[in-house]
Amino acid sequence: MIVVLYTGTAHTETMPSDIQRIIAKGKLVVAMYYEDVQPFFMHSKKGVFFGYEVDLATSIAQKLGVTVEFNRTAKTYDELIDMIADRKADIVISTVSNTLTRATRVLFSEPYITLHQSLLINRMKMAQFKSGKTEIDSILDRKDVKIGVIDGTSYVAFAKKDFPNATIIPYKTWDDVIRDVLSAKIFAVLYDEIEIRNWHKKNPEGALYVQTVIMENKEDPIAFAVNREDVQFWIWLNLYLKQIKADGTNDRMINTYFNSEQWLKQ
Amino acid sequence: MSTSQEEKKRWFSWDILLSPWLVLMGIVGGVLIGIFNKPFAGKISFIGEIYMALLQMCILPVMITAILSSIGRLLSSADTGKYIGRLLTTFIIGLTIASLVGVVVGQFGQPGSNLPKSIQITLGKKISETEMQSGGETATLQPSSAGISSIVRKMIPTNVFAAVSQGHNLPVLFFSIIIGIALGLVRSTASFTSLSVIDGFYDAFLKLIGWLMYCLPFGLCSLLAVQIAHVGYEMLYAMFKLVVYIYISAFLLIIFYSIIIYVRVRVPFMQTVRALRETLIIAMGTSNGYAAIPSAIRGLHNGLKLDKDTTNLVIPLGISLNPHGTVMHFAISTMFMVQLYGKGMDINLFFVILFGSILAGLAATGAPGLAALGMISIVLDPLGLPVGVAVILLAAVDPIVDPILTVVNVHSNCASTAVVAIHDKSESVADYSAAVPATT
Repeated sequence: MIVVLYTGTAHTETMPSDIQRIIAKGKLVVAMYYEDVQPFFMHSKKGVFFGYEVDLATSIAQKLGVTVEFNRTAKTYDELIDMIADRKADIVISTVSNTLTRATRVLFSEPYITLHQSLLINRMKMAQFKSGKTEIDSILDRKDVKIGVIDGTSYVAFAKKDFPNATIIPYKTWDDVIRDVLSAKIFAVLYDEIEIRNWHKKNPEGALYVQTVIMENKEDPIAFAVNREDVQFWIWLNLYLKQIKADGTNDRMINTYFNSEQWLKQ
Repeated sequence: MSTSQEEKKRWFSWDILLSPWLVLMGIVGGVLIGIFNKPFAGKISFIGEIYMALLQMCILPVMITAILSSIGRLLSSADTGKYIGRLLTTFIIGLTIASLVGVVVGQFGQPGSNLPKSIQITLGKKISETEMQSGGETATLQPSSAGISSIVRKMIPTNVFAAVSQGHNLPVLFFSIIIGIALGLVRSTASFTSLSVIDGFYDAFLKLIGWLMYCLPFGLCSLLAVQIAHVGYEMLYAMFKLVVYIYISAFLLIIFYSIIIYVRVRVPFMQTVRALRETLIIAMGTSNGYAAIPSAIRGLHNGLKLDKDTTNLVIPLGISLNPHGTVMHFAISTMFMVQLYGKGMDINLFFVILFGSILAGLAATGAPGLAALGMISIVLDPLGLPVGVAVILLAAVDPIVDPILTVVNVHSNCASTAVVAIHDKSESVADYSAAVPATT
């Protein structure tokens, strides 16, 4: 009896289950914050959805051979993490900071961009406290100083870490916290440099009343987040990032969206 | 025929260059170039730079020789204590008046109140832009510790030759006074000879300044062109109200000084104007009070026949330590800031601004350029107002405002000289009746 074992040309190894699941679906579901955040993800005048993170999402989907679908239901940044944990989306690409607390629930890739924590400080309050050349850090790190942050973002934790002695007040919306820092109810707002820069662009007269201080030594690294069981996908993403950093693609995108005003023309 | 030769001679003489009309043409020309042809202003800037360099070359020698030669004689002749007392009183009262004018005009004019949103946007953009350039924090605009003790410390030169070579006017002034007093008290043949030699140099430098006056129209044209070209019109429009009220305060003070000079010197009013015209024009064109010192001494001594020794002492001393223009500027600018940030005005604030502006003005005299503006922190810090914003906004309109403030600084000291001098030499009143026309 001759038994011919016909192995054929089929590969015996199966695709990793997490990446396979996405390819089988034919689409990559990307969770993003419900409001536009310039220049990460936004709508052009013609209504086209574009931006740095939109480009990243589209590129990843393309490399996987699937289409991209954006899920914009999350109303807070913490909710985005929930969606990943509950598998309502495959990946979060939405200016999400890789905090340790979140890292206990999801897997973070390497950062694709590092922002700096920034303060918007009420000028009159600053003038009252500042005598001589004391550092910003020591001025703010006092019990009678109120610092506003947006609830549900990594900045609640950042603020408590940066200024342990100050009183940290979480606000529900950006408008609320801006209103209070302009009227000197709070001393300062802590948020990322991009959002603060965006606010200045929309409200140039604000510079009369509040001062921007970008804290060069306080980083806010932004990374992809995937479900903690999707290990292969996570490794794949890090390889992807390594490649786009090495060949300059990431730098080009960052230059286009952050260092030039070209994208405004869209 | 001799008449045609004489006519030829009369038609052209170098003195044409001293004519006020030519000077006026230079000024107007400079302003027009600055407004309408900025690249050309850049090209002719070298003329102004050379002129300023020549003027500045004469400042320190004149200052030193003037003070050295005069102070010894002054203090040995008159009743020293009363003289110094009179000087100090004049300075203090004068500075208070200047500050008061700034505060009152600021209160009535309300330059910082109810600024329309479009203006706030212009100002906000300028502030953001400037702060972004200096690295996100206005670290560079913080003035160095401006305490009284540090000001006094800065006045004393550890190396007088270094102070002279670096053009630090205050230490040189201080040194000249001390040495002048010492020279005057030595009273030996050698010291008298030294004083004569110094007198000789002093006269020589005054002659040199006289030569430079022939180039005044050209120097002014170039200087003004460059200054005007640097004005940002957006910011000028946004700060327009403040600029206007600064000019109003300045004119009020100038009128006040003219009246004082007229009353004290007792010569026809137009003659007082003519005598100081050149001085004030230099002050306006160069925005540098020190550059006007030589001309001021000439104008007050030759033109108005004020006592030479008093003039030689009060003018350099006053330009340094009696800056009415700077004080008024700080007073009214503080009012602007108070209104911009919606702080209520009360009697406490009034006194803080009144006297703080005087201190800030005194602190500003030694400091160069923007650092002088930074001294406004002396007034703003106690009021809890942001200094960074003030410096950025004031620096933006400085090219427009500095000329008139310098005129006030110089004119106020001419008036102060008139006040101090007359009272001291009462017997010289008789000389003024034989009024000789001032050099035109």
